[in-house]
Amino acid sequence: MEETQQKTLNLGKLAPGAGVLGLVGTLACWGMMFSGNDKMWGSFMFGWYFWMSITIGMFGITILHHAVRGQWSLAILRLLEAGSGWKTFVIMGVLLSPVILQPIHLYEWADRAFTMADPVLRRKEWFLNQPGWTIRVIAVLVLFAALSAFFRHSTVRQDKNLNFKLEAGRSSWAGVSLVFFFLASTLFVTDLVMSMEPHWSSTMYGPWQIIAGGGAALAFCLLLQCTEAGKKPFSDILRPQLTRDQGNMMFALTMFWGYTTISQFLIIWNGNIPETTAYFAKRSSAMYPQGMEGNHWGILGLLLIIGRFFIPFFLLIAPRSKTKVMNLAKITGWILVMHFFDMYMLVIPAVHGRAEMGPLSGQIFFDILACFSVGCLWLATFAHQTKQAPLFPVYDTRLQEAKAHAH
Amino acid sequence: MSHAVAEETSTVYAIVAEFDTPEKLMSAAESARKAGFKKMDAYSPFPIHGLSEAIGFKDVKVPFLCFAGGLTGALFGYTLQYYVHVFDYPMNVGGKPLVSLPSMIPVTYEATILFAGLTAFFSMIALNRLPQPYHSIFNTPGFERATQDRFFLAIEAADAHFDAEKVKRFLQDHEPIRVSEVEP
Repeated sequence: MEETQQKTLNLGKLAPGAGVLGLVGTLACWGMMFSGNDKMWGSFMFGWYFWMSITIGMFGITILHHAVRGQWSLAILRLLEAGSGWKTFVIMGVLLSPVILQPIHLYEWADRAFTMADPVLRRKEWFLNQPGWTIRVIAVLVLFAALSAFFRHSTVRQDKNLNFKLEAGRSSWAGVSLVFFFLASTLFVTDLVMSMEPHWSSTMYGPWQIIAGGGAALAFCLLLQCTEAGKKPFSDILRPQLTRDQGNMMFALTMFWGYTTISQFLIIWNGNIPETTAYFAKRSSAMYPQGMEGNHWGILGLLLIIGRFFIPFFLLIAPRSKTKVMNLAKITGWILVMHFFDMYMLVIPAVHGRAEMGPLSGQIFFDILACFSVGCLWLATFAHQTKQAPLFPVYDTRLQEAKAHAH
Repeated sequence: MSHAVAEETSTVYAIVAEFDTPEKLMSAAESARKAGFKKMDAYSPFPIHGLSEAIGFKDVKVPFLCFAGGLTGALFGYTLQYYVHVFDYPMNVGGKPLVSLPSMIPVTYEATILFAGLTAFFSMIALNRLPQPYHSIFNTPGFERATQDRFFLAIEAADAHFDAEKVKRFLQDHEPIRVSEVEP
């Protein structure tokens, strides 16, 4: 790559356009939700959770970076910080506010009379009740925002004073934070997504969702980094060994996704208890709209097994797919698309009445609208937060040195 | 002395240059590769970024062997279970079919990992021709410092372009501390 006349990547310019688009789209979604369109609540939840899973994943990788200070995550640290900054958690919290105020549209346990009449739900009532749920959801969002602000404040300060003590401090805090992050995220996804099917439960759910989100988050950052590889700051740091490490991490998360997904399935399949198998029954080939046998959820499941696991798995084994930035960009882009279907298959069948409509129904346009609107606001927040600090940490020059030594 | 020329080519293992900095070793290795030498090796007390690329070292065999080992393991794990469940000891578990793919995944997976891991380990040892109780490079004077603070580049006599005098002159151009002719 020529060292002359390199452009600097400016993500900040995305913010205003994406913000306006996202605001208009979100208001349209909210309008439909509050004018009696019950299916729109499910669509909005899907759109919101798709981006929230990426946010959770980015936050997890950020904490992991502070704990171990790896070079592969250093290259994308500022993207990770921008995608899981305190403002992101606040925006996501505000976007969720209709659901927090009226959970009845998505969660049948929110109907107290229904819960008390159901023998299974009555025994879960100590956990699945509206006051407790509201407090837990808001508490996790606030604590995540605070923890995120703490780490970000520390890296930005170190950029200015180059004080290594800050880095050592983050490393100590990150170990504890990682434990907290896993516990809190598990609680968060259990409350928001798993409890949409309150009879069903899975102890693999938290790690499974964190891994899925982590994979998508890494894919998002690598896609951005690899497509903008010719611009600063990435042009100063990218070299084949680095993208190979990042690709290996992507490979590890792909394997981990397969591992957690199959583990959850295996345990449920082996146990063969009506309450737990309901999850897969709802997402199986038996679920299709009347008279439309070809439109069933099993197709989507097969797509995920092949597309979310086997294709990236075999592509990422080969070194040449990781050392060439354009190859890595294509694979990570593919993983992001698969993450969309993964989240679709997770959330949509849990929405009342949607499983029976099959994966391809007219409502899919509203699912996409919700995902797009929330995504625009998320991207605007992301772009805004990338602007607030150098796109590559000033204090850590390991990658520039390695690049200079490479040739 | 009539056989001097013939004896010299057969009694030399390599021409070895000793350097005091990794940078000198790197530049010598790079220009040696550009000069067309293929059979060479570098010795350093610590890993140097890019050195294996500089001496033209390509590690392609182990990954492929490892992959083949993994496939063999998957096949072995699956057929073992198939044999046990269908022919050797058929048993009805919870009314499920004898050949239930989900129940076979863990063992297939573990056998894949086991075979791939063992193949990687043993093929690495075999391809490196280990164990090797004797190696000519230890005849190099002062080689004990290769694990302390000196950096060595050996251009081996097995190389197609090898000519002891030319190689010596070539290595002298890269500021070595000394260049020695090493016996096999």
